Amino acid sequence: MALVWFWPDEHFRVIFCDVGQGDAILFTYRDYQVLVDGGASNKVLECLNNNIPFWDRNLEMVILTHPDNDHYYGLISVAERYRLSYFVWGGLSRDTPNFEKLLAQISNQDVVLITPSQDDEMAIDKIKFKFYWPNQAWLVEQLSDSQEKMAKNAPSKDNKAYQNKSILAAFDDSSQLSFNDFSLIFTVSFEDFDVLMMGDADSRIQPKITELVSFPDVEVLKVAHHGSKYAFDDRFLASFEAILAVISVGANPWGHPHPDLLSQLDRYDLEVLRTDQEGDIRLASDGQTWWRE
Amino acid sequence: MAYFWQDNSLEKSFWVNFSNFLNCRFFLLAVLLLITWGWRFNLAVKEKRAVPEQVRVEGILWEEPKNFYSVQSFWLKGYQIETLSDYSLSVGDRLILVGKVTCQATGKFQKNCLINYPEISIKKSNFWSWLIKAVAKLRKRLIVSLERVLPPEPASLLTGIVWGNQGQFSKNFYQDMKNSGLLHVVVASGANVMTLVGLLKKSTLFLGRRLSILITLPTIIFYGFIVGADPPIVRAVLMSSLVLVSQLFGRQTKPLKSLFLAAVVMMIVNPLIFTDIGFQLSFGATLGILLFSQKLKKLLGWSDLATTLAAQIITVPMLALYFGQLSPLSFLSNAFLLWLIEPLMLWGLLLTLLGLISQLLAGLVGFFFWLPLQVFIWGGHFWAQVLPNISVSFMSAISSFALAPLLWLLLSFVKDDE
Repeated sequence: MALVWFWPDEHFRVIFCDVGQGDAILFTYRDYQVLVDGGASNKVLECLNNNIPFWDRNLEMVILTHPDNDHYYGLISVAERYRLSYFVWGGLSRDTPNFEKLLAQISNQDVVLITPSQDDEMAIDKIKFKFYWPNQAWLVEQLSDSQEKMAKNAPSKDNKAYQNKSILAAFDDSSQLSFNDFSLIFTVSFEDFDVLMMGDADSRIQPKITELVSFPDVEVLKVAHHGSKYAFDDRFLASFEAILAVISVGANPWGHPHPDLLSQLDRYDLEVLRTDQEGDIRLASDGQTWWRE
Repeated sequence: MAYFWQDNSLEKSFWVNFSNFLNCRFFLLAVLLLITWGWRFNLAVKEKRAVPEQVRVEGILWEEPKNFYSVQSFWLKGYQIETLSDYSLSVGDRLILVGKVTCQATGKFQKNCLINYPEISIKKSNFWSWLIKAVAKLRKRLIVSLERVLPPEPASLLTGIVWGNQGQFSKNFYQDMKNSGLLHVVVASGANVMTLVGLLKKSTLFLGRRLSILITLPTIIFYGFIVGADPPIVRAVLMSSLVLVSQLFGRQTKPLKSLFLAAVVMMIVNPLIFTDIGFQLSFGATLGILLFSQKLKKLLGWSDLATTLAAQIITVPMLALYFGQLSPLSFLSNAFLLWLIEPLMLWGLLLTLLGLISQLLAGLVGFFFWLPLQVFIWGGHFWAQVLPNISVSFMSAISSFALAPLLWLLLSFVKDDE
């Protein structure tokens, strides 16, 4: 009876998990689940508990937009508890004990690593992913050791790849670059319903992105960098249309979401939902229409 | 001692004599232990008073540091330490910290001393740190073997019950358990140790009493070591060890005596432990159970209800005093849900072992496990919504301590079982 009661329906769902100040977004369709980032704590587990059928111990795909603590830390506990099939990341490694823990957890499993860049596409059943950033040429330009340390290439099951493929030996704190600039930007689509995921790629890198990439119109936009004052460049926002903007944010000392950002979103006629006010935000779609649950 | 020569029966006088001799010895032992504690207490207070602004704290890390964004925090020798999460620290590390202490009151009777961003150095491992590291590793493995086969919330419940894993409770679940008065069973507590003792004794009884004790005793001590050094666990392990040892030598130990001995031994090791709320609650609950549960059971005819009520007679006034709040009807949630704990503990232990052998098999069994765990979670949520939580003034909290003697008086009219 429990099986029938909890059996997933035919709708695609996006759940912006309330993980405090951080990102964790779960996409589900039938018994497929894709998790984008894990937040800064174990709170993501509560969201997985409530949105994945109790018998399902697999997460088909985990995508890490960039290796900042408020995006990757929760994934350590996720990788401890769930079997992961694909781990999609930018290849950026971070020399901290916690990030090493995450890589160790992933390397303990038979996970396929994917490091996508602009124009790469993937699909899980009817869920489609299209990557817009980072741009391959830009990436090469940024890295002092050029292509040898590139994390791009074919999927690999070789655990040593985690060391060999790590881009970031050349990337230290004195660099002008920020991990945010390397965030994976991609759309997640279910037929006519599209969500644009931004990671923390904010207005400091968006002029460059707009120069190299053109974005499609989407239904839902995940606001970059938790609603920072510098989340969006006007030119970037003007380059495509969206209906709903979701801000993944919790208590923080930086004043996120910034009032300037909120009025900017208002100027672009975007409806705004915030996880700090709404808790988990659940959107559903049948492919043609979409609604909030 | 007067009735030594008043009794004419030779046999009876021998037993009276013997029991008096034992009582005498116990009294002497108690006095000796209390004197030792007084001496240790004096030293500890002097040390505590002399806390300079800049301290050097040396000790072994007992718990996994908790991460919050880029900060990790942990406890060392009674100080709360906060440092950057970039430091790679693990349980069993021998740490030397030098830093500035800031203390502030956290309640009517408690204060919290914090060392922010101290200088940290790690000393070379010795036997104890190696042992703690090994046990922590084993504990982690046991917990992960359950976490892999169950969804996060049921897993956190089961690992809490069986392995004392408290770190993974979600905020909502923790709040539900707290409001419904069930928190004490979902963290490894004295009751869980006693459940394990019961299970071990039952399952090894066919080997004979002596062998059964010889298996139960080291297993319980080992279990206590894995589950952690929280006062309720140490109290329960000490008490049950004392009872088991005396049974091994064919003696009957009064549980009240073993409770007293356990308390004094813990206070000698850590002279200020009696200020710990966990310690007070654990001893209060046990004292209540020892004093009242049998008679209440006779009156009410409902074992779980009687035990919970007996435990709460002393702990509820304590909670009211410390937190200014009490949930006067929380015995109801306990009475309705406690029956699940023993089977969950037994099956949780077996599922852990199965998980270590084969995750696939454990996953299949875990599938059937979800329902009873979820029933407990739903039940906790239900009672958390239903049970009232009332604020209590300081004076009412103090006066509620009169409940225990009143009940004692009332129950004195109920005859003891032979």
